[in-house]
Amino acid sequence: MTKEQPLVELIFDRLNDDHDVPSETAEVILAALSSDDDLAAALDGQTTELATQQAAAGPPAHLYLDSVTVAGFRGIGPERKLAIEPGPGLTLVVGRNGSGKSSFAEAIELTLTGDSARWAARTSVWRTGWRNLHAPHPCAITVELRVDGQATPIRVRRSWPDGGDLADAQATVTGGDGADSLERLGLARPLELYRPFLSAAELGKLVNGTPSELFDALYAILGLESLIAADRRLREAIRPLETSIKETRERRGTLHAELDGIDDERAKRAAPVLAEPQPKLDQFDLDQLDAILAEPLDAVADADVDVDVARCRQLAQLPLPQPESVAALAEQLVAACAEVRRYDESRSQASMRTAELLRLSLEHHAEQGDGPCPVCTVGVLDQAWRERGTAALNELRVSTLNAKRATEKRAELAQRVRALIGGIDVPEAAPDGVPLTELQAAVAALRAVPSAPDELAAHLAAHYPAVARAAEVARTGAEEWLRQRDSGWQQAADELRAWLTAVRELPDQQRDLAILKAARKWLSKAGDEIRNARLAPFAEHAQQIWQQLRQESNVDLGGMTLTGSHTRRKVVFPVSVDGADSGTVALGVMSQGEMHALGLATFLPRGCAAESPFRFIVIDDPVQSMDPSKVDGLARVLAELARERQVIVFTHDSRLPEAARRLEIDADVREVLRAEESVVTLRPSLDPVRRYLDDAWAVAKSTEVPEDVRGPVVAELCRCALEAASQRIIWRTQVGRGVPHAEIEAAIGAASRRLTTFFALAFFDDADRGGEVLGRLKNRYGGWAADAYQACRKGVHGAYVGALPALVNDTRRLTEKLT
Amino acid sequence: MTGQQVTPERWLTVADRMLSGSGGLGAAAVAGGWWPRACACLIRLALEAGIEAYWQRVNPAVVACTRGRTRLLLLRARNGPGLAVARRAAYAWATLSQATHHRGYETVPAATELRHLHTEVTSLLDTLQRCGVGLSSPYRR
Repeated sequence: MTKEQPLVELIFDRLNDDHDVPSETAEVILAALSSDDDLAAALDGQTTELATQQAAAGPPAHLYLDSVTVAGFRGIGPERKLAIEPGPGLTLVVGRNGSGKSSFAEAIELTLTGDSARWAARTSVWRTGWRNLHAPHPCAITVELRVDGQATPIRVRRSWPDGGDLADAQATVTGGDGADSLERLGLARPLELYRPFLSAAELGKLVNGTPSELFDALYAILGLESLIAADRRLREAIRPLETSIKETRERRGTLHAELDGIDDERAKRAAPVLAEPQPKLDQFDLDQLDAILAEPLDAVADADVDVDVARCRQLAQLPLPQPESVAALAEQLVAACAEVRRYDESRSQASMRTAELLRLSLEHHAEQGDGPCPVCTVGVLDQAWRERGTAALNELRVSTLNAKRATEKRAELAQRVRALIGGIDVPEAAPDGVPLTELQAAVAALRAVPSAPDELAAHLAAHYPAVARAAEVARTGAEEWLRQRDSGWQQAADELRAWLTAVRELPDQQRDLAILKAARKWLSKAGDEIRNARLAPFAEHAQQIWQQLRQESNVDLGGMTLTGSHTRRKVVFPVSVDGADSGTVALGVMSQGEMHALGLATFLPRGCAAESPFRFIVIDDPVQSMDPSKVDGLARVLAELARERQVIVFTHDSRLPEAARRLEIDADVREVLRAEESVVTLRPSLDPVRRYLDDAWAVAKSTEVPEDVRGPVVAELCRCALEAASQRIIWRTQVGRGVPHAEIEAAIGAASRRLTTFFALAFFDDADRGGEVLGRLKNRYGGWAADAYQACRKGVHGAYVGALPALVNDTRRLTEKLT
Repeated sequence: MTGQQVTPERWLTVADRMLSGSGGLGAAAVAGGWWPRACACLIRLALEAGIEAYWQRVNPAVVACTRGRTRLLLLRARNGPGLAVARRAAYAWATLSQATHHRGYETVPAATELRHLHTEVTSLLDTLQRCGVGLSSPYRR
């Protein structure tokens, strides 16, 4: 499974092939992989969006490191650029501790990840010492990445303002098709996943980190986060269902106890239904409970109780108008009576008669015309009289009408007052403790209404307040009586009703729960299988690397697996010592060097994952505490990787380059030197013999070096060239004889830096034959060779007086003959 | 023999110029990248010359008939400058010697190490010079 198939598709195919999975479960599994909303919709039986997660802008094609330029950062003062051939191959950057080589490695990582926080948190040394002491400004790092098939490199630059903190970096990204950030380039996530940087700290994680950290680091590259997310969604959906079901179940017991304790006939009938737990909650006689709850509160079988309840209920709800509105009514009646008195009844009769007389007279005048008054016979009925008479008649008619209306209004109001008084319906009796007598007395007094409307208004105003007060007292008493009798049942009925609703939802909830649990189980099993299938190539690669690194170690590494979940997740390395399976305990018996190698074996496959867009991997100091044979193994592993990857290794000694030379591995070796004031120089590291000779030549021809100083320095460099040449012969001879690395090293060490001994070993494979070296040189190569050899030995102590360029040339000639 | 005429101070001065990268010499050395071994070589020469000068004053016979390493070891002798000085000299010499020989896995010494050695040798030479004056009069001839 080298090419990653989208996880959702993979799961879909598996679900399709698995005929034991019901379709609802399959639906839920796919929905859980998609989103929270989809999961909710799937459980509701609605259609799901199943929006497949769009991978953020696909990471670009293969990326190679082109160069890193550093100024004012860590050990690097003035700006220096480390350019690397942007393609597969092995680059070794060699420099002593403190030479600034790790600064380059750190600069690359910091610039690409931009994770200053993590860096700042590392150590106090880091927090305070990230800026170069000698040349703190300008402080900037530029990393150029070469995208496969693109002419313009991507430049990622981070610079720090003068006096700024590590976190104040200003980042700029240019050249990536207009994308101005690593996120836009789609690199942020891959950087997190594959981390193409292996620092000593990273490797130490295996030893010092928690098991779950290692698990997470490996799990992330398997591209299975959506599985974790799906599992989380399912868990989150399961939790409230389980809680709800559990609560409903437990509520039965408490509800039963509650009902049992209520002195109410309905509660007594409801309680036994809930007495026993039922395996399925819907097996309770829910209909009976419904029926009990549906009974109207008043319709109770017990008649005695019922009458009391009815009376109290009547009292509690006694429909009495507010005293204020009653007072207003009384006032209206008083006003109406006054109005009626204005049109005094007797005056009213007289004016009616006058009106009648006037009307008849006007009719008479209309028929007979002007003439003497038929009533008094004195006056004259003429046109003038007619006008006055018509006006008087109209006036009389209006006042008569008003009098009639006032009388009607008074009658109506009096009627309303009587109805009000008559409408007050007080029960004849009430249960003990409900104060009714006062109310009855007040009502009786009110009912003794006078017949005269004037008196009626005064009567109402005088007696109604007493009724209202007494009714309030009686109502309070009645309510209290009802509450006392009713409290238990009323509340319990509400609770019972809620519980019934919950119980009715149970079958759905239980169905959902079952589906969710089945989905989770299926997904977990499928996830384990996919996970270990995906891990397999990494595990295999790790095993291969370990096989090469272990060399003489008696510890064998099996295929690692990821086990457990949540807080118990860990990576298991089946390890055997001397062929005996020791489980994971063997991690403890491994040496520092072996743990280091195991760290490399574990993390190199991640950095070189097939899916990673990064074709480069930066490894900082992988050689520490490795014994020489492991260094050879490491060189082979790196050479293997370098066939397809750009492998950049920073190392503090020349063991790795030496191993590469011995194993004839093509490597671009650079040397980092740091002079005082943090002046760093980078130069290609030639094979050491050539390096010494080139340096010797440079000094010999240099006009800057005072003449008196040149001699010993040139002689020393020439001697070093001869030493390097002879040591190479010693290695070649002894490796050919099958001598273990450690012994060869010991033999060279024992030669105690004496040129004679080295040559004795090189010529005769015998350290004790130093006396024969000069003769051999003379015989085999000629006198010049012996002279050059002697000049190198003695000249370092200031004794050489010959021409220096000639010495360098002769030495070069000798080394060529030797090797 | 031009080399013999160079004083220890001269070696140290040139080494310092290379180490600090000052002047034409320093710049050339730093740019060429050959300064670490050259420095080590010069500092060692200074140490050797200083020890030779010491024996020359204290007991010329030592200079006449022994090799560099023996002269160094003889510093431990009873008529030497004392065990502490002898130890310091031996340590400096061993470290410098390691830096001036080719050894498979060692890379050249760092600037800080060389600076330390330079300071140490300067101080050692000073000590040896004073010891030579103070302690050695009975052996002088």
